[in-house]
Amino acid sequence: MKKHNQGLKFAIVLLIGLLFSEMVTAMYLTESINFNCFFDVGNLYDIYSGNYRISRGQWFYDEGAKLIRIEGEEANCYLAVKSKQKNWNYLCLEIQRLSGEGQWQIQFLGQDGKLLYTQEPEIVDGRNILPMQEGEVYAINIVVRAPSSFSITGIQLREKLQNFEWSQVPWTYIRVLMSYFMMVFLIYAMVRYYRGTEYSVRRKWLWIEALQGFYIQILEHLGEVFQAVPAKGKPGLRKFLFLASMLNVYFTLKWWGSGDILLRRRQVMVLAVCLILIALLSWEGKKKRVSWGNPLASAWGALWLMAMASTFVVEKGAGNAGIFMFLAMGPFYMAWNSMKRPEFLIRDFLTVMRWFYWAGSVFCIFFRAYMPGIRYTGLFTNTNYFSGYLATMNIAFLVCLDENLGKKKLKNRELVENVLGLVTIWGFLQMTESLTSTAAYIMEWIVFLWKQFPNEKRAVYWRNLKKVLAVSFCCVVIVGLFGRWCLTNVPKMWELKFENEEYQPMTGQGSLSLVVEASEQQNDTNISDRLLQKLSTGEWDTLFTGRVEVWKAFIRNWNLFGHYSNQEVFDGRYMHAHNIILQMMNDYGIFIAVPYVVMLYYSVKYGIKAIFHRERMNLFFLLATVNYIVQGLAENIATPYALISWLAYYIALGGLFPQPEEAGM
Amino acid sequence: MKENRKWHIVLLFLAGMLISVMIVFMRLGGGVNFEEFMSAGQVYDVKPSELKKSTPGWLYDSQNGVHQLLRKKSRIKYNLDEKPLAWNYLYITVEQLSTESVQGLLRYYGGRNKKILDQPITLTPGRNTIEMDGAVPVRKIGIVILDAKEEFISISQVQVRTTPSWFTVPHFLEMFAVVYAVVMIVLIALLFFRRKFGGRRRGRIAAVLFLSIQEGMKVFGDFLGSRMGGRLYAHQRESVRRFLFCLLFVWVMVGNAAGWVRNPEICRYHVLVSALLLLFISFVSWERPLQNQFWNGPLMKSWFGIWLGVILCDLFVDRELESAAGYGMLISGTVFVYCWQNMDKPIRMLRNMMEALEYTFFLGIVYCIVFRTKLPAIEYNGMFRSPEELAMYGVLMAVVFLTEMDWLIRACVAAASDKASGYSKGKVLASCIKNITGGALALFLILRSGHALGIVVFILLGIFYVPKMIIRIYGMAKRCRVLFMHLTVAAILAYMCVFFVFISTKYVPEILGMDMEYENETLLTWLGNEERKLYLMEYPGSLDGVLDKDAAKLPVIWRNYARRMNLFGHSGNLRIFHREVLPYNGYLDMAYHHGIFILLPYISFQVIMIGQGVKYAYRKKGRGNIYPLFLGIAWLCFSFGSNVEISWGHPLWLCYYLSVGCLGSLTVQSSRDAVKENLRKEGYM
Repeated sequence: MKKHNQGLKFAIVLLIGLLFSEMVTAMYLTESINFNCFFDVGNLYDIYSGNYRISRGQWFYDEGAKLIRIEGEEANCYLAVKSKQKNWNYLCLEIQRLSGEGQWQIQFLGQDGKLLYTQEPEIVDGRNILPMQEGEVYAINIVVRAPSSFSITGIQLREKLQNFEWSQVPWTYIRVLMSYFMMVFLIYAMVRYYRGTEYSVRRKWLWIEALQGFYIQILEHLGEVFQAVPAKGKPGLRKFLFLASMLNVYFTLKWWGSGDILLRRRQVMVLAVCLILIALLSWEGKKKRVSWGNPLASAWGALWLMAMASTFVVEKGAGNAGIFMFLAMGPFYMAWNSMKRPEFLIRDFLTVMRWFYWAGSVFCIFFRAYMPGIRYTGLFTNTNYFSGYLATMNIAFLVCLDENLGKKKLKNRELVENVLGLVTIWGFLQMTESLTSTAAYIMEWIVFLWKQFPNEKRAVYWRNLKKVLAVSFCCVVIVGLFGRWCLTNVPKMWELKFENEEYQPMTGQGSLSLVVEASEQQNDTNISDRLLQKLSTGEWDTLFTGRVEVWKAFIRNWNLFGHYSNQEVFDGRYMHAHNIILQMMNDYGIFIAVPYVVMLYYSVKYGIKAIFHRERMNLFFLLATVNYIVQGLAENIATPYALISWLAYYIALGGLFPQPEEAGM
Repeated sequence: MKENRKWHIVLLFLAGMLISVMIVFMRLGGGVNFEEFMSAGQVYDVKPSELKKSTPGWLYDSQNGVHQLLRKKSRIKYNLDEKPLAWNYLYITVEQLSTESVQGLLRYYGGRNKKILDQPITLTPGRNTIEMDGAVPVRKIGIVILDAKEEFISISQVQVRTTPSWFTVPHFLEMFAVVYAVVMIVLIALLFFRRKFGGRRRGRIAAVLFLSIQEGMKVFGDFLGSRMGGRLYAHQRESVRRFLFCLLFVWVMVGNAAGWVRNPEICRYHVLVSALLLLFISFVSWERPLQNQFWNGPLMKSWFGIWLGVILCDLFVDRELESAAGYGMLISGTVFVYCWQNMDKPIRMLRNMMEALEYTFFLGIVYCIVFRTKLPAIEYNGMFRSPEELAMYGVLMAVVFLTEMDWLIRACVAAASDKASGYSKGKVLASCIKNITGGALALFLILRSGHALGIVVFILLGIFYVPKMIIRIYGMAKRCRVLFMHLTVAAILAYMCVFFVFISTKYVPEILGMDMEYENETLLTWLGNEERKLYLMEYPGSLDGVLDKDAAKLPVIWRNYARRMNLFGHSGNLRIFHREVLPYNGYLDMAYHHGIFILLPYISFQVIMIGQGVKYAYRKKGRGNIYPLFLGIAWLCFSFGSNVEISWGHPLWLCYYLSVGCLGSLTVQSSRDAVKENLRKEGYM
């Protein structure tokens, strides 16, 4: 146990060191001590590569060779500057594989396309820096005369010139990291020296115990009020509250864009009240001793404590997350842990998820038309949200399937509902063409299948499995034949379009799905086409659908206490980080990554343990975690209150808090 | 229980009043509008001082308070809002008029004094309603009285509005009486139904909630308290507490002077530091494992009502300053109160707090002598940003010194009656000097601030205090000769000390070259329009940025705030007379910022404070304590005419709200005394 604890300590020290070194290196190289933006190189604006990797007139983009060819005497490329800032000092052109004797002219245009001034630089292979004149530039027109070919790897407008070379970065970073470790070692040695070499046994997890005590006292007294609710009525009431929470989360996402801070606060309040009521309803007294003395609960506490501190310093768009976690989620976890049969709460939650899914599916069938050529957005305004929602809903059906396979008497209605759910989810997911959610979906199935193998199966299991396979086959046929037809034709009568809906075309219509317009393409494609197309280009940017640029923008803006909002990435648009860790670092400062990563690691670890040590509904924890992490690699599901994936993960987390074998560690 | 019942009855009547006010306001506004009951639209009131100005045609006679009309065409101009706006209604209230009516013209001026339109009007005594041309944006208006040479007129109010005003006091009162009666009947009926069918678990939720809060605090309080206060001896605890209180009061005053309490960016840090200091004091005061206290009484309910109400408004109004104050007080204030109530000898906390106030007071006096000059013709701000804040501080210190004196006299009287007092002669003299000098300096600061309400409050406290002292000393005069001698010596010293401070604040900062002015300080002069002109002729430029001290402004300000009252409050303050103006009334301040129903716990809190204060000041058993009563009276008086709600920015604010701990602890102590008394009677002790 001691060894394990030391490993964790080392990992934490290492993580802090890595982040600290990044912070110091960035500030050292940019010669600016700025805790609000470590990499302080002034404002930047990257012109999106899709704007110049196009074929228009004599300007021809060769997809295969990744080259721009100028085929006539003169060709031009018009690039609009869509950032809010218009006054820039430098234009940086990254050119490679330049051949031919093309003469370059860069025209700087003002409002209404009025020519402000021109420059005729000598363009060479590599970075070309053109100083710009005073004044607001609304567009840049690149004119190339005489046939030539070249590849543009980046066009950037800058406020300041970069005052260091990238080659300096690794050595500086290593030196800072070494210094950090020396410092840590020195402190450690001093502490050991003054404390003595004897190993002293100290009581650990005191804070967590105090927090638990606080929750117990509150639940013990307030829970009294709910003792009047009959035991039979509790599951129903709990389901109702879970449903209210889920609806609240759904509408939070829907109204998020309105920017109404008061509306958000009220929604957070409603969610908190629902969770507290569930907690009070589920509290079964303090007879059952539960210990949260483990790294997962500590990391959770540290994470939200840091989030609270960060919110105190810098206001957040999704504010009060820390307070919400401590005052609503904490009691909820405690009450759940006090239950003699904790699986009942998971059962209720998953039931509500399934209800929500079916209600949503019916809504889609009647009101949300599937348009060929357009990725399906379902209940949401954005296809990625919908696909993420589907991957999360899949958890409910998979856990249910896992339970059903072991049942002695499997009801037909349950079986059909379960299998139909799984099949329709796959059908919907195909229409969204989302790779991230599909990856999460596949991972969920892998976890499910992995769980099926090691156990010794009883006869009833095999009988149920056969039934499941048979029903699955029927469902696939029915859904395959009628599903897409229904979605295409039925909603035409009552078609409903949401405000701010983002239409994204199917495979091959654009590299960054979030910014392109709808296409009129009529042929259907599927996920495999999309994946193949991405892989065939061999470019990271295409593979990650432009996310590399987004990640870069977020890394460039790392700071100590986080930002109010997301970062301006493409064409002046604010985007989320498309990654949970980067999003958390953006929201709460870079050091939040330490408890966050620890929390993710331990939730996977304890999720796996739960499969072996718990009897019922044990798959839920790992599935929710895997879904959260895999989706979180390329999407933002870290922002609180707005996504059901987020809710599912944080609910699952509470079930993993009591780890008796870790207590007293 | 009885106390609770009385409180519930008071609350019922108060709630009925607030509901009625809300309904009547909405009726007068002509629609159901919870965002602003009166739906008043845009309103501009002409500054009262502008109503008293003289022009070639209108000569103001300050003795009679009227304008003499000197010309055949007598014209006066009034500035309206900063930007030209289209107004629909003009209300002119004529107090006196030498004839039955006068004919005239209403003249519209745009930007740069450009005359736009003339509209004929007739003015009669009373309220004149004039419909304006709503299509013309106006920057100024002029009233031209025709053919009334050598007549006189007195105008008390000029108001322009975009919507009509139906509000008059008699009309309001008539409607209020009817609505109040109906509302009370409905409320009583509801109460009756609740009693009849509500079951027996009424009031259980509040009790359980308080218990949960206390249990939660107990966990953290014991954890931290045992590591802080638990490791100190009693005298160490007192020293640390005194030091922390000093730090807290200095921090609060620095925050006020530097403007941090009004800056949304810095305010939260200021509140955080203050709240942490308060928490430190609480945990340092930990003596033994915390025990639950009786919080189901009206005082603590009101306490929670106020702070929860302040915080809940955050769900409906986007604010920064107000909510930070609420969170700070709810969390750290509640912990402080709880820890105070848990002390074995709660009076020690009060004593330490008062000692800290005394130290900071004398420190503040030194600061004033070195850094803050008394400017001629301008009211003194002392270490604060406005004279009223200084007056409030003076009154607070007067309460502290009076309490100390009360304790001292009582101790001396007890000593004279052969009871142990714990005061030696030297100590009595030192204490007399400190308290009388302190009291005299406090009075001096109040007088220097020129704040009428402050002076009134001081006199009121004196009226309450002197008879109490006479009664106490009556019959003991012969045995208290030494005390009287000490008092005389102290009075002479105090006089000299005040004289020294009086002279020093006039000259020392200038001599040292260390005079300090705060940014956006409120400087007030008592000079009227004419006197000001004369003064400026002699000292040009000396009154730049100095505002008039015009009491006539207050009703206009109050009306403006009352007009904007709503259900969940507002952010920031109103702009009146072309600048942001504070409400100059505690109730309006609370109602405007946190919604009308915050007055329910707010008023009840004040009433209970005074009620409990009376109970403990005049109790027969044990040591009476006039501190809560005097503080309550001072607060109540200031609430009527001052900006008393300076959250985390004034020692009076802090002391007033924190004195809940003192009252609560007295309750606890009295219950403990009662238990001991019973045991004694039964022969166990």
